[in-house]
Amino acid sequence: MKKTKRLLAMLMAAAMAIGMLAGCGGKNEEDEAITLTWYIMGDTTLSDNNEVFQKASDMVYENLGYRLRIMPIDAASYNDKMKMIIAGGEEWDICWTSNWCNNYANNVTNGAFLQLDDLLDEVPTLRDSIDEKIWEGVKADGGIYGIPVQQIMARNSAISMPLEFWEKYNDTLVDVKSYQDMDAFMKKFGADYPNVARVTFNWQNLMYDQNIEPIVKPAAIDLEGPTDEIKVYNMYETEAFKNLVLLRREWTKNGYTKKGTDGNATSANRKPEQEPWVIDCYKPGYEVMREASVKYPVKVFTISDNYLTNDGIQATIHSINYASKHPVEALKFLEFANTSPEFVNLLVYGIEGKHYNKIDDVTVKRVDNPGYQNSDWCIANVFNTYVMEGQPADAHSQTKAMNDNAKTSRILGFNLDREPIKIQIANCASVINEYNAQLEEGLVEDTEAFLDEMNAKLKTAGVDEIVAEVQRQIDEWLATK
Amino acid sequence: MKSSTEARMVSLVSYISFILFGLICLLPMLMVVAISFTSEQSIAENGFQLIPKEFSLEAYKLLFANPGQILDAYKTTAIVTITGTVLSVLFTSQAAYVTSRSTFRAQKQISFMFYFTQLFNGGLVPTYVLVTQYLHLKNSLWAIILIMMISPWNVFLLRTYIKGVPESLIESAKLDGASEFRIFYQIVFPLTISGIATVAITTAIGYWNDWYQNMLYITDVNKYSLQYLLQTLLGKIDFLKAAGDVGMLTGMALPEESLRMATCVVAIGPMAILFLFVQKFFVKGITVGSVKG
Repeated sequence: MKKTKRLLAMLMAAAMAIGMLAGCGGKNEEDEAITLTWYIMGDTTLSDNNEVFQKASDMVYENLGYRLRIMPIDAASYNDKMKMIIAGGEEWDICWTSNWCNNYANNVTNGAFLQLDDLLDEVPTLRDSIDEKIWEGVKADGGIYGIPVQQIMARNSAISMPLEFWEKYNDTLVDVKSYQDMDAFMKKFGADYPNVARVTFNWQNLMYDQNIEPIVKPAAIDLEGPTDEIKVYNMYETEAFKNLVLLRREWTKNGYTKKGTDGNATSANRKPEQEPWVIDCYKPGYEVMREASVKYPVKVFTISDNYLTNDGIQATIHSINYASKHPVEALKFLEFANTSPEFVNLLVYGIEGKHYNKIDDVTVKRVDNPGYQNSDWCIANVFNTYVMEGQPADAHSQTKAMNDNAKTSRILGFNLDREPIKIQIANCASVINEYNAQLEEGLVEDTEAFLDEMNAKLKTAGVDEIVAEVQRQIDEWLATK
Repeated sequence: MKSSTEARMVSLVSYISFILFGLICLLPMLMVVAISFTSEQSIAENGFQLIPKEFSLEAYKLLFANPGQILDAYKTTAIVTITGTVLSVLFTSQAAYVTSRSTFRAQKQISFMFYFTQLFNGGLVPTYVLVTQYLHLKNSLWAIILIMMISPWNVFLLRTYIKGVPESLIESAKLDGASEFRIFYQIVFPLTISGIATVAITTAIGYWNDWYQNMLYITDVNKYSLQYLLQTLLGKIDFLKAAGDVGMLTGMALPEESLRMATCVVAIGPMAILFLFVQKFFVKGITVGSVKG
């Protein structure tokens, strides 16, 4: 009896001790100043996070008179974690959001974010620094609920390939204006290097060269056309798509490309001819970034015009909690973050001399394995950051010009409410997953029948309802314009 | 003479088949270890090999680039696993004992309350709100320990074990003046030790492997569990590749495949060794339950 009691007492004591350990280090001294809590995407495992965040907070305190608590969440868990933080009603002031992670439009629909239209007059510098078109593109439910991070927003279709081959086959490539135009090149290249090229054109996401703008797969619209009448259709039933997959099949069949996917090979040690040539979105300085991973010179060329779409604009946004106790301060902070080069460079590159070194006034180089770093696009106005070694010094003004001169999408400012068709979207997605890889790699003998089969399955999965609902929402949106 | 040849044949066949079966179980594990020590170049050129052509510690170097972090994570996981398992066994077995006693008047109602939570629970968001807003356990290891502590399934499993202890044994102890605690700890507990060991090891594995609760409730990198830290490190590489944000990598080649396998080794290593020692309880635990009628 005594023994058990003692055992229990010991267990309890142990439990309490651990509890105290776990509870340690939470409370700071009471600070008179307001503290804003800001959730961003960032690598929590970096050793100097706290040092840099403290400096950032000091900088905000000096300029605005309040403190900043930066809460980084790792990219891999950002979506899940932020969802719980928002749904759980925790206290936070600003969070990073986008259309691909911690979905902006859904959060707006759920009422998580504060509408900013009226408040924007408090921050004229910020308001005027962002183009009218971009404010239009960040609208959801008819209002502005976030401050977009200025970066490359124009989207295009571009092809990235080893420079060696661009030079060697230049005559067949200079006039390429669409995927189909690559045919002449593939014939020559395939004859010289049979069965080696890994051509993984991810053309289903970026179809700007085909005059197709996907809204939610498979629903899409024509990229160019009248702005007062927009027709929604199933992109997999178009002639353009059929041509693409048939052409892709030709390449595989004739041995121009290697059969099968190459999911396991890593980019580090591939020879140039094995490097997958991707269709991607071009932005100034892109080659440098790509070369850093593939280790040989790369050529990237666009095959379509530039377009400003919701997709590009809503790719990275900061929004304010609807329940924030300091909404105006939060907005003023966002103005500061988006207009102060010192602030954004601190949070992107860290501390000079420790995490990066300056090469000239605008160019920097990170040290090896820096104790702090983050992606520029998730912090604030990218145009205020340094460029990295190798990028052209005017990369930012080139990018800005690209944004400014881009054609606008016909549905700029339209946000789809997925709720009524979410089951159909999920069903279609699984059909697309089932067929996609084989079409993309050109593996199926009778591609046309295979595509028909896919479209038949999409019909069962509810593609018609998706198209009808998207059409209805677009018509409704057009009517309000 | 004939029968002895036959017997030898039988044992030969069974030896061979068991050796083969053993290899089937063992080879993938060896493969994982081997790949984790292979250079990425060699993997790209020769594929996966049981004996690495080019030996490399690159993956482990990357993993232990910040050794303090991994050690912290081991420590966190050890604290959570040990505390969690001890508390879990303590409370699960007590709950099982109480609900197994037919002399306990509220036995049925309490059993039902356990059973009910197995069918219906509050769901993710309410649980999260409860833990963070009411219990104030955000960023505390208690959140993980408490959430995973009691599994109704384990309570019922142990209850069945305890029911196997003859009621008369408990009654006679009572007549001798033993308290309920004493009966439980000195009679019932030792008699059902194999069942308790089974529960303990499944609970321990559950705690050891947990990353989800850690992801939800822990914000401080020092308190990341091993599995979550490893997941974060792997996820970082996937993400960087996917986002094309290669500028962040400062030009270093990432040992992706070998890193994946090295994380496996780091994650399962200690548990595999532990398993060797408690295995005998485990096996016994499973069989004992089935023989009792």
